[in-house]
Amino acid sequence: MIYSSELIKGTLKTIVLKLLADNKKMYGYEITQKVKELTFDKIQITEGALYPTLHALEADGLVTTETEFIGKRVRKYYSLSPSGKNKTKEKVSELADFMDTMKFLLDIKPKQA
Amino acid sequence: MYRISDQQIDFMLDDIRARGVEMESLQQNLLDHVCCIIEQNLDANGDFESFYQKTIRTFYKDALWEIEEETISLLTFKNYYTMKKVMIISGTFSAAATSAGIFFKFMHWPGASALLVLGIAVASFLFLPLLFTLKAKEKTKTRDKIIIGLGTIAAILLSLGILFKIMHWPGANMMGVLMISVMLLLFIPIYFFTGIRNPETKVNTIVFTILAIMGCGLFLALVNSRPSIQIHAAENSNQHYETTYLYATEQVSLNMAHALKDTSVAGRNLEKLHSLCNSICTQIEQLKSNAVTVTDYLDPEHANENAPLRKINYAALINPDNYDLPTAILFGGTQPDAANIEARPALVKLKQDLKLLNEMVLNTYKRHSEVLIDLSDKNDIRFAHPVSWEVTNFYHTPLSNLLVNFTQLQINVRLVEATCIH
Repeated sequence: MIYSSELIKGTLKTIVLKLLADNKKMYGYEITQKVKELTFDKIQITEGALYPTLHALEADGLVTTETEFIGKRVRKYYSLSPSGKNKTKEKVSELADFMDTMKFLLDIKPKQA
Repeated sequence: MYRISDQQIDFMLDDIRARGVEMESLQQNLLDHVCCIIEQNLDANGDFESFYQKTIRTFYKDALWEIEEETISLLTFKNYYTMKKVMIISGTFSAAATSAGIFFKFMHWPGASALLVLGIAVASFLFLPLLFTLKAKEKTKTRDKIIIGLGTIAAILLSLGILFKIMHWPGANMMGVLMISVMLLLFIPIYFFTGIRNPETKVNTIVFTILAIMGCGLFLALVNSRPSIQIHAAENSNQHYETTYLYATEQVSLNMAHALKDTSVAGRNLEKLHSLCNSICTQIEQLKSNAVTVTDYLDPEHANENAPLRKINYAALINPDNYDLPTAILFGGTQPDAANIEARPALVKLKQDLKLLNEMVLNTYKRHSEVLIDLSDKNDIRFAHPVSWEVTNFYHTPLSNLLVNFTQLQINVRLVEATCIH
């Protein structure tokens, strides 16, 4: 099952921030591949959603970028800024809290092992 | 694994640009991304071009520039809360400054104009544009955005027009007329016919349209009316000045009758002076009478320099605020060349006689020049340069004020005459 883009949209920032926190620096394609790998293809981040988010994070000062030339093309690596690190913790705990609330709200019983 | 050549990189970059992506960093991100996919998934001897086209197609729904649009909207959304905050603060500030300015103006306290200018400038150039930006962002249809844009333009013109009107700056009426045109010819029709189709907004649309048209009507009346308070004040002072003039004439004539018993040279000079003053006052009375007649009938044909003098009832002037017709009989109508406004013979003759009186008082009676009738050019708020005595006092002057000016002149003539008797 692939999750709908509406579900991904609200959590994309958190996903990207958390990945950067765990992986120091990453480029766009790497992020999409990593997410795919970690979620067993269940979450596939589209280019149309990823790059606007990365630009917004950069504008907010949460991530910094460095560029690397690969032959003729330029690769942009993203990494967390100090304020991005704080924001990541905040965002992750907010989302965890949200998921608990959703479980309660939607009355989802934990799956029997 | 496929190896991408430099030409292929150039080709892809050009293609991404051609698809409407203009931000350089986004171009580079997308280029690197598509290169990674090609390198990972295309066989070493695969078909580069068709694979590229297939890959880039998966990036978007309708067009590649959607990604850039989304980026820009995310970037501006970041400023959304700042903009909203600035909008609320500037709106509150300008409302406070404008109200305070109006209050100061009523109380004749200093700083009224500064507050008004500041308040209205902040409203016109900060608050309203921000309001437009934020409101337009909420709407998706171009039609709605146009309506909000037109409304904002009309509102800016309205507030600036009122500011210019209060400050007596040129261009106020032009802005007012422009605002009314934008409002009545563009905004209201589009707004009305859009809003009335939607059952939810139907009632609000009708109510707002009626209010807006009423508002335009009131504003138009304001733009085109002359300051009625001044005219009202002039109507009241007219009777007062008339009484003063009649009293002054009576007193001067009594003293004159006494003085004229002297048959020496001095007595004969005084007689000349007295008859000149009488003639001047009669000429003025004639001008007043004619001005009242033409404005009553609203017809310049009724002016007749030899018409019998009429007794003016100041409480019953029919058109006290009319200035076209008095100007027509005194100057032959509005003159195209504001620098050289020429009076008609009756007013020219009056000015000549007043000059004669001044000379006589100065030469024969050696009176101080301060008692003379002031016939000099004056600065006038309506013109960029000093203008002649007759233009200052009588050109484009509403009947009520014109009559006050004439009667004051009569009083002055009698006062000058009185200083010569003793």
